[in-house]
Amino acid sequence: MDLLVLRSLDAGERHGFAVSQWVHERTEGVLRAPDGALYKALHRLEGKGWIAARWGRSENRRKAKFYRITTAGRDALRHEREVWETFSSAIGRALEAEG
Amino acid sequence: MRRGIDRRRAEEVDEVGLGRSPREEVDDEIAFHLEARVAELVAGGLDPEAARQRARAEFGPVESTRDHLARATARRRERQRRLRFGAFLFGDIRQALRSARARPVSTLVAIVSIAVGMAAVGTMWTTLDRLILRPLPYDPDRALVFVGTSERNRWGSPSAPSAPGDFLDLRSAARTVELAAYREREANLGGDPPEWVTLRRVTPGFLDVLGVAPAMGRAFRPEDARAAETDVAVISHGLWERRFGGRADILGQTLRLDGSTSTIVGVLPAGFAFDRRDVDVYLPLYLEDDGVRAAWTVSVVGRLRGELSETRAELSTLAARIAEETGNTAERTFHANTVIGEWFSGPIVAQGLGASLAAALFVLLVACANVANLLLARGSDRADQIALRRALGAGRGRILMQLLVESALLAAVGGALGIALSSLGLRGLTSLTPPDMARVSELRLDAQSVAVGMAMAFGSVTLFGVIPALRTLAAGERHRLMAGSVAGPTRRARHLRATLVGVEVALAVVLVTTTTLLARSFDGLRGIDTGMNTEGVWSFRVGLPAHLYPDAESRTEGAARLRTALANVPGVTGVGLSVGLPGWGWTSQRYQPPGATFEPERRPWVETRTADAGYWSVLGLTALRGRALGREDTPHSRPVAVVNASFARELWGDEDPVGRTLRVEDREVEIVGVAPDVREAGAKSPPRNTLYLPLSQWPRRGLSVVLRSASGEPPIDGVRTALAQIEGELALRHPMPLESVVLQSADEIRAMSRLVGTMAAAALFLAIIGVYAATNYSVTQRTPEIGVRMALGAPGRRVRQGVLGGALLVTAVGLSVGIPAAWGMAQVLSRFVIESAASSAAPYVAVAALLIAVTLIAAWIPARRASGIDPARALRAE
Repeated sequence: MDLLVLRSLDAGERHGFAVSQWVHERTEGVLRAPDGALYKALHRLEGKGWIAARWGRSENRRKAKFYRITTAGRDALRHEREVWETFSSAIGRALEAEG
Repeated sequence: MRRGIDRRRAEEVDEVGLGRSPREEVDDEIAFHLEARVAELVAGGLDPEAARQRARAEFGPVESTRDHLARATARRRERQRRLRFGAFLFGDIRQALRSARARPVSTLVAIVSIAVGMAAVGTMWTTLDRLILRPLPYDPDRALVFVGTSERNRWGSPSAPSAPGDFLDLRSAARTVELAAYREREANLGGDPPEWVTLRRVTPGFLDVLGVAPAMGRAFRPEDARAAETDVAVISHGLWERRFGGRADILGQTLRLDGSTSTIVGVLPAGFAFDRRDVDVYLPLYLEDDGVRAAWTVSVVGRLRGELSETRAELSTLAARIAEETGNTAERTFHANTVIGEWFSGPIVAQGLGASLAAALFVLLVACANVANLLLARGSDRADQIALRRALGAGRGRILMQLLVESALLAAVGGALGIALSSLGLRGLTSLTPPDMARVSELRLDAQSVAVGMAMAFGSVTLFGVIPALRTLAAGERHRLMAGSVAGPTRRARHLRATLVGVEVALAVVLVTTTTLLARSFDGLRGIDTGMNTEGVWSFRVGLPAHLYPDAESRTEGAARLRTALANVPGVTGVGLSVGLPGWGWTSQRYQPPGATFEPERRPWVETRTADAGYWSVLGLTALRGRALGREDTPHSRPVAVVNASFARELWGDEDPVGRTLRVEDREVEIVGVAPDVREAGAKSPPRNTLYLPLSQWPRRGLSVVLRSASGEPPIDGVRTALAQIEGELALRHPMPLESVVLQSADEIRAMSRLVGTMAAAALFLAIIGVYAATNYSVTQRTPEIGVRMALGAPGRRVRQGVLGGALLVTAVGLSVGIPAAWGMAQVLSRFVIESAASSAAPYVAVAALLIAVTLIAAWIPARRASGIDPARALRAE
């Protein structure tokens, strides 16, 4: 989840609901975790300093909390991504390997 | 502004939470999410109720998530607050330094003010604390006490002597205090040249009681004091260096004291001084057989084992027991008083230092006024900046912090400078105080005085920083960022600042006036008629060694030899011998008042001045009635005496005392004359009852010599040579003009009035730079206004006059408060030191003129600057 959140914010500043939409779209509804978990992730990442937040106005002029990725967050994203890719390709290779 | 910091930190630090609690913030965030999702679903065709349920279901457990997020938010905020505090503190310090650079004059004035104020208080506090208030430094855990004796109608002084018999009883019985006794004597120390030294006989426990160990060798042991004749000595560090060149094999060397020889067994540590610096030789005091109770001949010092109150209780119990055992009905009591510096420095120095500390506090007040003024001025400069920051959401606390950081920085720099200045001040003080004052050389800044001084600097600056800071904040809030507002100070702020300068001037007036009065009263002291002609008279002390002059006959003989030898010194035109000198000790004897029948040891005391005929003629003393003491009074003629006028009045009222008799000790003396009263202790002291006795009939070993020479200069070398040829190698001590002996207390007064004078000068200086800074600042502030006026054709002279006039007005207000306050102060002081000078107007006029003059000078530079303002430039700056 953290990885997805970071990735979504890497594309630009957005509020929590937009992050949720982005995740649904990109994972084509496969990763349908409760939205509450998404917010927990956002706050966790904010606590780590990987993302930063500010209050602003949404597209329809509603008060919303916007998140953006920080430099530290970008570094973390790159790192997590490598770990994930290494991990998933290893799993993939293992599953595809002939028994 | 801390914009640079903000930019760098922007990625990690979010903006202030706009005053919402974490829970409210989280609620808003969740609400926004749910609403957005509902809207999305409704747009997709779902009916609102179903959409709401769906959105909630997708979110999961709202309550627990909300709690979780709120906690996370609160934690984050706390961490950020801490981070921000550090960043802000750093930013504030940079900001403070920048604004200090922007206004170098007022910053310098503030720093110098703090430094001078702190140095004044620090120096005086340290001195007063060390010299007067603090118990002596030996063994800090247990207080030293003097144990004095008193009886009905008979009082000991704080270091009063006690009876040896009582001391022995107390020492063996007292459980709460460890006691030692001592007494002093002067003796001739043989050698080349011979020296007349003070030696102190002490009971073996003396150094233990003080908690001092010899630097070399040993202290006395009980067996050292078993024999009446002593042969061991402990010497001072000074004597070791002076007489023995600090040689390493000093132990075992011998001293020749009045013909007997003592072996040196110990050397005291450098700087050791109990109550006086000039005791060079310590010998054991032998008291074991001495059960005397009538004569109070030893001083007793003790070290408490517990509380002072316990010791006092024990002493009164013991006093009752001793009274019972000895059958004494005179209510003899023993009193214990903590040994503090005041006993040794005397009341004049104690009061003088107290007055100086008070003056130093004045100086600090003036300094605080300067600092407050600076901060106020700076604050109104900054009102719009603060208003801007408030509008951008900076909290009151934040802004207050920034202003306080600025004050604290000023305090730190000023305080550090003040410490350096105090250390110089203490050195200066050492040179100002009478050299024989014990413990002056121990004056050092230690951690404690540095801490006190720094606390003072920070405390006062913060206090005086907070008030302007609050004002600034209020001004910043009122100030609503009006476009192009002229950031001029409000009337109230201007008034407050003018008032502060006025207060400064008033304080300076009080101090300077008081000091002037003190100086005048000192001059007055010089002019008092002491009843003696001391001009051109030199005096010194000399002693006849005990072993060569053991009895009355040999002492008379010795005095005669001394007189002849001195009279034969070329250039000497008159010689007189006496016991003690005016202002330098006296002796006292018991007498039987006429008609009274007191037991010998109940009789009252009278001060006696024992002198030969030469003393009377050298000092030009004449009898008011009857005759003076003269050559006709010999050891074998009828015992005679002269009384002074006040004593005569006390004894016989208006009747003629000449021809009457008075019992003095064991003799019946005939009063042959009345002498004028001599105010030996200064004009404020009442004349003391004095009885003049002929030296020939009351011979002594320790003598003072008064000497008149043809040239007015003392033929000291000739005197030394003459003395050395007398049997026993006589040596002289303390040669000085009789005037300075008589005026010794005046010397102290002069030192103290100089000290207060220094404080007054410091206050005046601070007031001047305060006036300067304030005028300078107001010119800067009024630059646009002055520019307009000059553009409209106001001549430079008018502008200058306006600036000077403003400064003078403030000074005038200060004077109108300060002069009456100074007058009140003088009335209070006149009870102690200041003479009739207090009633004369001259000092007040002089001080007023001085202040007006310095104000004009201080305001002149800014005034010139004002008249030099280029209208075009001033308006462009606007």
